[in-house]
Amino acid sequence: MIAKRSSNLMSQMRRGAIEYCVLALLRDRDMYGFELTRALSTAGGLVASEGTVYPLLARIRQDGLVETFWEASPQGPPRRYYRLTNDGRLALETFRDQWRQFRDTVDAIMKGSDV
Amino acid sequence: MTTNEDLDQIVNQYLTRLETALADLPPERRRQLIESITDHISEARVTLAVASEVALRDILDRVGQPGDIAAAALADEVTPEHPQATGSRRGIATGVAIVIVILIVLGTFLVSRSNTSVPTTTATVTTITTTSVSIPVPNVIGETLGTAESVLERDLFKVSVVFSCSGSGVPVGSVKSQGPAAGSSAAQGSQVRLFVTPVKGCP
Repeated sequence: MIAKRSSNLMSQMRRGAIEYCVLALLRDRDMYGFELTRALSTAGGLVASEGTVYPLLARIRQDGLVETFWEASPQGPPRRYYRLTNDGRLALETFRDQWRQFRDTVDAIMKGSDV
Repeated sequence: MTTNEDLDQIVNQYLTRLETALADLPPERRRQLIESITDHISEARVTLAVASEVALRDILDRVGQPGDIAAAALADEVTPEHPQATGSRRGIATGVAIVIVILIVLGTFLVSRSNTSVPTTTATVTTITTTSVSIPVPNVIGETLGTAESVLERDLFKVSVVFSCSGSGVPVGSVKSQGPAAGSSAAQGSQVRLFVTPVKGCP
């Protein structure tokens, strides 16, 4: 019961956080689907599998947080690159501030000190 | 020893399972998702030092179970176009049913009037039922992608392309293997997957 409760909470928190992790990975450079999903899956504990990231990429693209473009690859098929839009950058900065504040508050209470 | 053709067939089976799992997505979303994952697998295969079955299975494991991907896709599905799409499909089905009923009524009416109109009516009904006929899939192995596409599209098959770098002697930009296999029976309008060596070549 308690295990299930905590695993539900973790999966919801992950679901909410992953899209901002994608935006953060794209902050400094454009990435193509394979390297983006591989980076997330290598990070560990964040995504169930690489394939489950693609629906999320489609959604944040539809929401205008990222845009895509095609580029030829030195080997293999052409690559669809993902690039942060201005809205995406704004969403990332907003989340980062909120996340820091949220994390600090929770950490402080968990440690038993005054907030 | 697993041949490169066998490896392509493993990918083909995986993508077919994925397509089935994604059946509830709107067609356009489904097409894009399958395209993304197809490219992902091609990209992962290009980076392999040795194309073995174990390495390929590892790639597919990392991509994940089709059921998990479908669950993630449906959880992200927020666009209201889904019920509309179903509605319009139902509309088409109703339309076809009405046309068939009209033809049958018309046919019965004509038959009752004159025997000479029987062949005409039969011919019309036959045209409608041929839309889901199964025919042997043509062999396009070794053809350029452009030729293979026009051959298959002439036979009313849909074509999807998978870039694949594992071995085989066909020139770049040509079809190495196909699924379903040449000569096997498939419904017109169904999809034939072509495994193609990238024009840019392989490492």
